[in-house]
Amino acid sequence: MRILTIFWREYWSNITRRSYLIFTFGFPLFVIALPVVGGIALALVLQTLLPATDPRPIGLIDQAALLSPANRPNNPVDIVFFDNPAIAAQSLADGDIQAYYHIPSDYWQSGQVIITYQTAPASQVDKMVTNWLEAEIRGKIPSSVLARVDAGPIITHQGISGESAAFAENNLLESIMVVVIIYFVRLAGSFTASYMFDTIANESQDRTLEILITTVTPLQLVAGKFLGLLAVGLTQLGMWLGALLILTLGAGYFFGVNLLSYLLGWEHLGLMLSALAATYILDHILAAGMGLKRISSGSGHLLFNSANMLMTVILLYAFYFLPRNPDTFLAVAASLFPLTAAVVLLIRIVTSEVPLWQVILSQLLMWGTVIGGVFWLRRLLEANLVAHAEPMTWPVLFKNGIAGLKRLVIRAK
Amino acid sequence: MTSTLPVPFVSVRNVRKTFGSKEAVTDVSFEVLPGQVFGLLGPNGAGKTTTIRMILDIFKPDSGTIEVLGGSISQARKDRIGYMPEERGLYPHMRVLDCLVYLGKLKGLTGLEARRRAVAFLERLELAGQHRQKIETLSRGMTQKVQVIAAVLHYPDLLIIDEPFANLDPINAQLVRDIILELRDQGKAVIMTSHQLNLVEALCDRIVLIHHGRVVLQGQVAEVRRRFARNVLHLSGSGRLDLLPGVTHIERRTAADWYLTLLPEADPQTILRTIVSSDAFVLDKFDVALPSLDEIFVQIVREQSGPAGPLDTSGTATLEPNPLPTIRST
Repeated sequence: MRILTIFWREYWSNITRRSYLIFTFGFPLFVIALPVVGGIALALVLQTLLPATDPRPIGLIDQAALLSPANRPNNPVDIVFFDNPAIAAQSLADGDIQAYYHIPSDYWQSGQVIITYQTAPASQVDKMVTNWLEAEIRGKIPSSVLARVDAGPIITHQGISGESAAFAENNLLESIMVVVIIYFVRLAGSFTASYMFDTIANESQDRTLEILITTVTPLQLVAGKFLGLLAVGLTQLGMWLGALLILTLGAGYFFGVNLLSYLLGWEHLGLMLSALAATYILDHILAAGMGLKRISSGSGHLLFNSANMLMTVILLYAFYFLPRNPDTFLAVAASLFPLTAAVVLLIRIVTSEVPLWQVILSQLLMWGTVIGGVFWLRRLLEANLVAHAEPMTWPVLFKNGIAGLKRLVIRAK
Repeated sequence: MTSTLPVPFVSVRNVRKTFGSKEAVTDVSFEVLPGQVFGLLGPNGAGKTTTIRMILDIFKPDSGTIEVLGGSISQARKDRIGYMPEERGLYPHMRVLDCLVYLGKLKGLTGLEARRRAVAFLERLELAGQHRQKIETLSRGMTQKVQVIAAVLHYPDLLIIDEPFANLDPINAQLVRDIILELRDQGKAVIMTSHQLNLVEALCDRIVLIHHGRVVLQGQVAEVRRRFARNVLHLSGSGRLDLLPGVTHIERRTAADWYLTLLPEADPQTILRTIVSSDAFVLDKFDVALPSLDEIFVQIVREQSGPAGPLDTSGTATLEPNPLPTIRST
C-alpha cells in the first residue's frame, strides 16, 4: 500500500511537470506537425511569391528519338514538337511558345538537355519534362534489370569464423526499425532517468529522504520510486508510440507498407522487449545511485544529456560499423556488457547470426545486473542517505580512484 | 506489594558508532520513559544526530543495543514514531496540505483521516490560510510548524524532534510547546534536541549531554542543576559582608544581591548561621543559587574541550562544579 502511495506521488508530481509536458506532447507534435504545417506554409509562401506559370506551351526537339509524342504530358503546359532548333527558335521569337527543350542526338553520351527561353519557365515545367524523359527511358529497360537496379546490391557478410551470415532481404528495414525504436526508448529512458537523479538528489538534500526512510523500508522506497518513474516513462513512450503508430498507419496507407503487423510478427520482438526493459531499469538504477552520491542536485539533465551523447556514439558504432564486422571481439563483448547490450545485441541480431549462447548470456547478465543493481542501490541508500558525502567532482573521483588503487596494491602485497 | 517500573520507550545501551576513522558516538547509554520529555543536548558535532539516527534505525550501531517501544525497531514500531529532522524534511514544491496528507498516508493513515487531522493541526497552529501554499513560499517559522505537524500527524507514541523551536517566535514556540506537553501528558515520550536551553529547562524532565560522542552528564533537570549549584549562595539584603570561613569569593552584583562562592566542603547552613548572628548584614533572602542549563552546558563543554575529563564506568563524567561566570538565583 505504501509502495502505491510513493508510486502515485512520484508519478503524479512528474507527469505534471512543465518540462515533462512540453517534451512529451511537444516532441510528437514537433515530429508530425512540423513537416505538415511547414510544408503547407512553404507552399502558400511560394504560391504568393512566385510569378504565375506562363500558360503558353513549350517546344521540344527530340533528336535522340527518346520520347513518344503520344505519351506527352500536358500539365502544367502543353508540349509542341519541332523538327529542328531553327523552327523552334522562330516560334519562340514570335511568342508562340515560352521556351523550347532540345534533346541532342548525343544524349546517351552527354546526358544533356538544352533549354532556350526569354524568361525561364517555372520549375514545374522542368520537372514535367524530366519526369517524362525518365519514364520513357525506364520503359526501354527490361523490368528485371530495372528491379535489380532499384533494389541495389545485397552484400553478404562472411566472417572467417564462419558465424556470420547473409543479410536477409529485409535487413535494412529491420536495422532501421531497431535503431529507431532503440533511439526513442533510450531518449525516453534518459529523460526520466534524469528525473530519478534529480528526485533522489533533491530528497537527499532537503532531507525528505530521511523522513521517508524512517517511515518505509528502503526496498519499499526504491520500488515505489522506480515504479512511479517507470510509469512516467511508459506514459511518455505511450504518447510517442501513439504518434509513431499514426505515422506508421499513414505510411502504410500511402506507401502500402504495413510496418505494425511486421513489427508484431517480428521474430526478435521478445528479445527486444527484454533488452530494452532491462536497459531502461539499469538507466534508472544508475541515475538513482548518482543522485544518492549527490553529484549536485539539479544537474540531472546536464548529466543525462552527456550520457545520451555517449549513447549516440554507441548507436553510431552499432549502425555504421557493426553490420560490417558483427562478430568481432568488440562486438561480442559489447553485446554481453549490460550497459551496451541492448543496442549492440539487437543490431547484431538483425545483421548477423548471433549464437544462442550469446543471446542467453547477454540477457542473463543484463537482468542479473538489474537485480544486483537494486540491492546495490539499497545499500547505497542506507550508506549515503544522510552521510555528508563529498560532492562528486573530477578531482574527488581521481583522488578516490588513487586511494582505491593504493588499497588494492596493499592487499595484493 | 510489588511495584513495576515502566518499560522504557527508548533504551540505548553502550552504543558506539564510527564513520571511517572518526568515532561519532562512544559508549552512549540512556533511557527515555513514557510520559517523559527528554533533552538530548550537546554542542554541534557532538553526536546527537547520529544517536537519533541510530534510534531511528537509519544507521546501525557498531556495538551496543537500542530498543525502541519495547523491542528492536520494526516497521510496526516505526509507525509509532514521529520524527522531525532539524530544518527541511518537506517537499518544497508541494502544497502544504498535500505534503502533510502524503506523509500521513506513509505513516499508515487513510487519505481522508490524514486530511482531517492535517486540517485540524493547521488550524491549531494558525496555518489554515496557508494550506494551499507551496512549502517553498512559506516563512521559516511557518515551515517549522508544518514540520511539527508532519511529525505528530499520526499521534506517535514516541516523538523525536531536532530543534523544534528554531525559527519560532515566542507565540509560536508556545503553540509547539503545548503540543509537546500534551503528548507527555498522554503518556507518550518525546526526545528533543535544542540549543535553546532555557526552553529545554522549562520543558524537559531529563537530559543527557553528549560531547565528542560521549555522555558527559545526565539526569533529571532539577537534580542536575542542584548538583552544579552546591558551592554558590545567593543573599539578598543590606549591610556589609566580610570574608567568612568556607567562603572563597564574594561578588556584589546589585545593591541588594550578593553571591558567595564556597569551598567544596563548606556547609551553607553554617554560613547562614554565621551571617544571621552578625549585626553587619540584614538578611532578607537566602537561597542556594542554581545555575541555568546554559551555564552548566558552557562549563562542561569548555572543560571537555581541553584534555578529556575523567569518566566513570557509566560513561558520565565526574566533573567538579566550578564557580560559574554568572549565577541565576531560584
